[in-house]
Amino acid sequence: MTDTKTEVYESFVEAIPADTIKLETKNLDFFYGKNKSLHNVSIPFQRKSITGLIGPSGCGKSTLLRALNRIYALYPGQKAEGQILLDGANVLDKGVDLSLLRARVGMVFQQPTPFPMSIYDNVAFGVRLYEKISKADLDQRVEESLKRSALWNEVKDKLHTSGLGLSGGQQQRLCVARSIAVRPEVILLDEPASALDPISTAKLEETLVELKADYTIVIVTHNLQQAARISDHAAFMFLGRLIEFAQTAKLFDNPKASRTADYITGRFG
Amino acid sequence: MTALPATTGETTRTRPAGASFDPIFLGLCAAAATLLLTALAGIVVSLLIGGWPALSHFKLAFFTSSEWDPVKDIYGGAGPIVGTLITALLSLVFALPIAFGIAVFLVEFCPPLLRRPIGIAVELLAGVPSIVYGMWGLFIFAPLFRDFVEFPLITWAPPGSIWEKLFQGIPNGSGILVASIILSVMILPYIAATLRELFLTVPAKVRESAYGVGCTTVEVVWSVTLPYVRRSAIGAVMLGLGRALGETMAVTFIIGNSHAFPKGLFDGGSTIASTIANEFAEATSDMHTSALIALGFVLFVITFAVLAIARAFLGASKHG
Repeated sequence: MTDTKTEVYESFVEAIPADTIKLETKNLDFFYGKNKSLHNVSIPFQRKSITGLIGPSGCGKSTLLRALNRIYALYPGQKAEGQILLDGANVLDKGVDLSLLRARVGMVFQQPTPFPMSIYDNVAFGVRLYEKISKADLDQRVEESLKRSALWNEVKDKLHTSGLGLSGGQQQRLCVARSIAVRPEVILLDEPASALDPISTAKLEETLVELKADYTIVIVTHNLQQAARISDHAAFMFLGRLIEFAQTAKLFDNPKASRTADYITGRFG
Repeated sequence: MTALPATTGETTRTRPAGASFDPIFLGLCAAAATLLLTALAGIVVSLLIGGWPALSHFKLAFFTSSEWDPVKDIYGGAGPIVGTLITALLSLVFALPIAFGIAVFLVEFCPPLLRRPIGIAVELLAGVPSIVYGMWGLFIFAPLFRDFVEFPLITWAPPGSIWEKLFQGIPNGSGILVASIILSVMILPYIAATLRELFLTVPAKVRESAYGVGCTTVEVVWSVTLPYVRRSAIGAVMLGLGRALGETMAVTFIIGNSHAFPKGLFDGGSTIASTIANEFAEATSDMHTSALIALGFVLFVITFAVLAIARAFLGASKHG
């Protein structure tokens, strides 16, 4: 590998129509304390489509994801500079209601994180925070969310048993259900399938593809095939920089940056 | 032909005979464990033997009567037993909310710079010798409590009301309530430190998930953190209770040392530990000594039960 420090990074970003952009970052820098881990990242995320973030470990893709709903703000010393525009409004502005932002921009993590309560309550949890709805409506919302996350058939007879008793794959789909139950506008997924077996992974991918009819989805994945299978756009990141952003087919078949080509053909990373 | 040591291929590895210390090591460890169990059994048996004359003589009255009269050699332990339970429970009621607040503050809100100093302060509080709490309670806290709490409340309490009953007693700054408050200060650091440790066991990703669906901090603590540590938290509380039950010196200083059944919160009372500390040196008759030992046995049983329950909760499951 060449000396990366002195190398000039050229970034290839394919433009997408401005009116289809749901969320975008502009000149985003991110710091863990004094460590700068994102450099000037500008990337658009198209409404009602899936954008895959790929790149070697430590390239900043998870950091980028964690910046988008400001979950990093839980930890002192982490900060983002630049702009993150959600429907044109900068979520990095002071005075932004973080709870509300996170209700609009949901998140699913690498490890399933069911809450210590029943399956039903897990899904209803976020809904109860923001909406006063009747029991019947809530029941319906829970059912709908579980159906959309392809978990309903497996849990409909044990909704009131603990969510911790489900298998890993089921727990992850439960987390997706919990996320979509609050009807967010954007769903962020941080390697959601890395702890799952192939069958669970396939189910989760199907779920995501169905969900994009209504949601803007951003997914970080280590699995290039997964990105190729389900994403509409793909972004390749390297050392905290956005190297290439394009329609997934283009990025995989005809990458413009040599680093992208090296990565997707397995020459490094 | 002489047998040569193998130099290539399969080597035979041997140790010089007797080089393994495992049997000795095992023996030493087993002896240490046995010693502890023997000591424990010895304590139980000797308490029971020592207390037997009193227990067999007074039978159930030892637990139900509060007549404790060394002159007539009549010993009913209900006063100290009830006093022990009341002060321990009251101290828990006072300490728990504050300990909870400290733990939540340290885990969720505290700026990193303050985290260590506050943590150290909590540990220091746990390290203060109980006699110091007792002196502080008697000389500093009790007079203040008398002037600013007992007098005003007794004056205020409407005659015939439940408050008048509750606030019965001589406003002299000692009694059940003061002892409970001092006790609560003493058990506070234990509960706070244990709760804090428990809160830290909640995986970061679970907390992030809760924030991720739009929770505020209050909602995260109530709906996710607490249910996550519920069982273990009960264990932590029980450990604090165990300490409150057995605490001696501080309580002896300020509880008022009356063997009668406490009538109100400001009334003097006694606990098992304070009774033993006060009277053991002066116990002249065999029955008096035996009654004190029997009280010790009762305290042992109560504390053991509480700690066993704590263990059961702490060890039962990791979460949920």
